[in-house]
Parts: sequence; structure tokens; C-alpha cells
Amino acid sequence: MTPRRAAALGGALALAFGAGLYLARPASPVRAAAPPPAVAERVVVERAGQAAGPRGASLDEIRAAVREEVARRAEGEPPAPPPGRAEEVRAAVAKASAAVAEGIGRGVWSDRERGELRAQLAQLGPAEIHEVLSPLFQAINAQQLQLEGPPI
Amino acid sequence: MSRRLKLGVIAGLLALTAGTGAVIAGAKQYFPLSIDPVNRSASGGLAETHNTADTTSYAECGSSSTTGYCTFRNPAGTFYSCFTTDPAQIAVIRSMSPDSTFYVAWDTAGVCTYVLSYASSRVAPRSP
Repeated sequence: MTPRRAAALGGALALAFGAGLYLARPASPVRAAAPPPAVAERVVVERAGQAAGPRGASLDEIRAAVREEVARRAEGEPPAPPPGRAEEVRAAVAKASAAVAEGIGRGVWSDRERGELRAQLAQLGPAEIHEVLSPLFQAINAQQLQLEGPPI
Repeated sequence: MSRRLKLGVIAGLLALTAGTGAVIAGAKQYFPLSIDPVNRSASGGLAETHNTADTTSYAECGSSSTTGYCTFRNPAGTFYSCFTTDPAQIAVIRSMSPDSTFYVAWDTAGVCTYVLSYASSRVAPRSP
């Protein structure tokens, strides 16, 4: 081998080694996988009770009212009737009860008494219906009243 | 009677029996109105109460938008009745048909405490 050829061979080997090193290196800095889109976290901020402002009830007052209403519903109590409505209901109860008392007094539950009762029943809630109808049905079951048709 | 005629008569009777088989099959139960005043309950079939020989007894249940009731009258003319504002009991009352069978109980205030309605193949259908 001539020195010239040996030098060429050595250069070629050096080039091949360099190329190998170049190719073996990491191609590029590893790109981290894109993080999943951040999930928006709902942050509930518990605020301290605020005093009633000029615009209305405070948060604490609203909470107390909601709790009170939820508790009332849970106990099966009907919501409080609006003002004025209570008087109408009491008047309807009085008329219906008078019709029942009249029927019991006569010993007959006829179209007349039943008609007077029906006119009031639609305005009554369950509690008032029980108040009005219990005396009527107790009288029927005590054989104090002859039915002419349905009781209600 | 010839042998052929006898066979024909037997075949005819068998055919008749087969034809009426569907009518006589199945359990039957007479279920007229029964009232228990002591325990405050009544039971029976509406159709069979209708079919009883007397012209006095009856059973009926009905409902308005807010209230349901059931009334029973025995052959002696004695009335028993109860009412309810319970939506579940009102739903049972509204499910009744003229051929329903029922059991109803009530308390001393005249409030229905139990209302059962069911359909049964054992009871007789309503007849005029």
C-alpha cells in the first residue's frame, strides 16, 4: 500500500466514524408530548356572610330562608299561602263545614248539601279537606246520615 | 241405531264438549260485597256486588281532582264510607274498572287507610 492510498483510506475511515457519530446522536431534543388541555377547575369560593346591603338580603339570610323552606317541604308541610289567600281558605272551610253540619242535622246528604260542599272543596288543600270531610264521613259510618249519591 | 249413526252421535257430543271447554275451565269464586264494621274494612268484586239478588247493596269508589272516596252499602241499607287525599290511593281508585275486585280499609276519622284494586279471572263478569 502506498502512503497515498493509506492516507486516503485513513481519511475515509475518519469520515465514516464522524458520520456514524453524527447519525447516532439524538436527532433533536425530545419534544415533550403536549400536555392535555388543562381542565378548568371550578373553584367555589366560600364567602363570609355579608351584611345586608342596600340591594336586598345578605347571602346568609338567603341561605337561612332556603334551608327553612327545604325543611318545611321535607316535613310535608305545604308552603305558606300568600297573604289574603289564607282568609279565603278559612272562609271556604267555614262554608263547607256549614254544609256538612246542615246535612248531618237533617240526616240526609242530598244534592243540595253535596253541591254546597263541592263549591268549596276545590279551594281547599289536603289539611282543610280532612278538616271538612272527617265529620261527614264519621257521620256516615255512624249511620247518622243517609246518602243520596256520592258523598263528595 | 246403526253403528254408523252411534259413532256420529258420539262424535257430535265430543265436539260440543270441546266447544264449551273454554267456558267451564278455570277457578271460579263468588266474591260479593263483604263489610267488616269492627275492623272497618270492605272487600268484594264490583261486578258481583252488582249481580247480587238484593236491590240495596252497592260498592263504589270515585275521585275528584283532590279527593277520592269509597262507599259501601250492605243489604240492610247500612252505609260505610271513607275518603282520601293521598295521591297514591287516588291513583288506585282511578285504576278501577267496573269488574275490579277491591279491598278498602279506613280509620275512625273516616280516612281510607288502605285501598287495593285488582283484576281476577276468578270473579264473574257483570251481568245485566
